Amino acid sequence: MPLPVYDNASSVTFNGVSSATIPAFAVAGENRLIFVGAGTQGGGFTVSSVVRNGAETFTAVPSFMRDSTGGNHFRVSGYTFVAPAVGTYSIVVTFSNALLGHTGAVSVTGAHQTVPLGTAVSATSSADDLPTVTCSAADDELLLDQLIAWAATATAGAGQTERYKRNAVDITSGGCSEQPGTVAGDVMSWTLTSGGQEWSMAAVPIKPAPPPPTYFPGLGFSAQQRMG
Amino acid sequence: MALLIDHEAINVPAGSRGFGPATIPDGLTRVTLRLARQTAATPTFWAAAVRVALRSWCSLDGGATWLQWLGFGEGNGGEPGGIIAQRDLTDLAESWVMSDLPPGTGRLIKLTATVTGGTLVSRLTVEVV
Repeated sequence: MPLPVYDNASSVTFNGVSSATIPAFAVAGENRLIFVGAGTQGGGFTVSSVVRNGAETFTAVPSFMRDSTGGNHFRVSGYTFVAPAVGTYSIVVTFSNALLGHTGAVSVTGAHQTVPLGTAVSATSSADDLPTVTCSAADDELLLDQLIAWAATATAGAGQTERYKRNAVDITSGGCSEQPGTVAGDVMSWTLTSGGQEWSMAAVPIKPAPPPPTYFPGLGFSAQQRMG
Repeated sequence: MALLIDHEAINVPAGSRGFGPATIPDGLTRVTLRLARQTAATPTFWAAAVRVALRSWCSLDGGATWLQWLGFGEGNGGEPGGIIAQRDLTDLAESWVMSDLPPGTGRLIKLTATVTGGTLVSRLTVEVV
């Protein structure tokens, strides 16, 4: 099946706010899905809600949220909204307290509309190593990640495409990148500069939509039915 | 870099007040909205009971249509004021949000501040780089 395809992205960086509005971005195409990632600093404080256009609430990605343990209280969070209507939207991300960080939205097309996600994997470290997550994905799945790290700059690894990123926000850098499931090993990573390199990171596979049925006029059945 | 609103002293009673529109210089790519917070040195600014929703809008067609752009305080019933202590125990001087601007020429930006719980006394800055 064809890989889900990146459509659009938008993001916002913040400090001292308990809700941030991601600038408007267009959503179009078939089999749409919006992923919202957040990288925040602030011990014990969570993303309370992610709401599109003041009405539609996103769903948290299971097993995606991860807190660092090195004292900087970095957290990554991920949310999705399946089958948004075509249009231009803004998204309000609300936290349980005023925080420092960044949040962004990535829209993709060609995503499975009933079972859109594979199994998310998260990791954290304060060992001055590089952020790395290995997240199993089939060749026709698209991996999306979210990073927050103590670093001056963060750069997505080879084979990944950055979709939003913020460097040098106070002591933090991070963002979201994508990687096709065809990349061997399903490893996503970032390089960091100038920091103690405590980090939290997570990734999740986006599953592809099945191809539309091919009907044989006059026969009354589709290719799938005929083969299946 | 340009300061479209440069630490402008504001006094906004409960309700809404608009700022702008202002022209964004061509070629600049990023915008930051800053609102001065209450600190030990500015005790009359943005009291804890005052909640603010700051929303910005960008236009690419001379103001005929507007795209909702970045902001803060649109969740949680508005952003509460009061002192926020930072990691180094100093008071956070400003709450801020930053994002990319839409590409184009002749762009405009405007803001709306919606205030509840009292009068917002602060300083507002809109910076583009």
